[in-house]
Amino acid sequence: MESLQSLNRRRKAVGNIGAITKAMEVVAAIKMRKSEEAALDSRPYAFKALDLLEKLSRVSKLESVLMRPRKVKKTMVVVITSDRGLIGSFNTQVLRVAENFLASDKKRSDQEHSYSFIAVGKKADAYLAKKSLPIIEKFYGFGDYIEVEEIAPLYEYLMQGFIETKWDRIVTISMHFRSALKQETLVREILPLDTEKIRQDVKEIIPEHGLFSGEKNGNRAGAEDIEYIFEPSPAELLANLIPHLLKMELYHLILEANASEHAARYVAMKSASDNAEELSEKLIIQYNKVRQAAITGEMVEMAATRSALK
Amino acid sequence: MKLKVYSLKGVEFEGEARSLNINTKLGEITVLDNHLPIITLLEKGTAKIGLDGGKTENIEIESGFLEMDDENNLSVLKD
Repeated sequence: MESLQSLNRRRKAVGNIGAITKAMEVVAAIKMRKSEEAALDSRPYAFKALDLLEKLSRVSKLESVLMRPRKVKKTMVVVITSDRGLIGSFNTQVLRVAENFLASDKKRSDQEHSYSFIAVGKKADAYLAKKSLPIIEKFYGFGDYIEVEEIAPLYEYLMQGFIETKWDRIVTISMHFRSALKQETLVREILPLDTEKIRQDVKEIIPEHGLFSGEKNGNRAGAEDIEYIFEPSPAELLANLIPHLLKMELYHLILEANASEHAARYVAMKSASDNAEELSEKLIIQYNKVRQAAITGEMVEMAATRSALK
Repeated sequence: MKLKVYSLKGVEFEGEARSLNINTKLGEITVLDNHLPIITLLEKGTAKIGLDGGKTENIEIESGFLEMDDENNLSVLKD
């Protein structure tokens, strides 16, 4: 049987771990809420930008370097994971999807076509390095980002490369936040840009369940016949609007990935602290039993000694 | 006129405004009540919102868009 001291030590250790996981659980819950809120705050902007896009596309044909499909020679794959662990199968899921994507992508058989990678998050970096895939650039610390300025380096890097035809297609692989308990992996082609897809994506900003699920799209429909003055010209306005849409989309992807990361961590930490509590209860019972057994043993000894002395 | 200033961080201004003085691609303009419907490109600068009672409010703008529709609603999209 285990000694009293070692049982006591184990009980304390389990209690300490429980306290830590409980704290991490609370922090993750708050961070998740923050990312979710930030995503929702940007929704009026997203709807207004789409509204403008619609008005402009009515008078001008969409024509931008970012929208024109071209022969795809190089695909840039952006893998978005977390920096830190302790989040259950979150990163594994994203990385598995990345693997599947590479295996099933139809461009793979093309001899002239190649892939390069951008790692967002240390876990993605470690994975890609292990697989010895070509990592062009790494971005860390996105896990806590909720400001739009903070994603600017990634955005500008991607745009620059696309315009200079360093790559002809950009695919992101990340986690999509559907609700606090449900996240899905998401493979999205963000460039060349497809306005129909963007429209769809904006609608998806609303989570399906939970605190913010009830909010509705507040745009008025049917303003087709307003005669606008366009300055400088519809085409130039459009060319300027499209990068904004792209930035918005990327910003959302990051926010979604963050919300998912924190949600996954919340769930993992919750089950960890539940387990710690359960284990701690078991250890207390065991400790008491051992203590009681020791006392009983001593009593028996005393009684035996007394009867021997008689 | 009703003015709304949108950014990715949320709606930064919402309410009645007398005038809006802003830098556009083609120069500085001031939008007053019942301006003709216009969509234009904004340049870096400070947008001055003239409120009722002579007060003004300033908002820094890097780039963005301005839209005035036919129902006296002015929207500014900023970054």
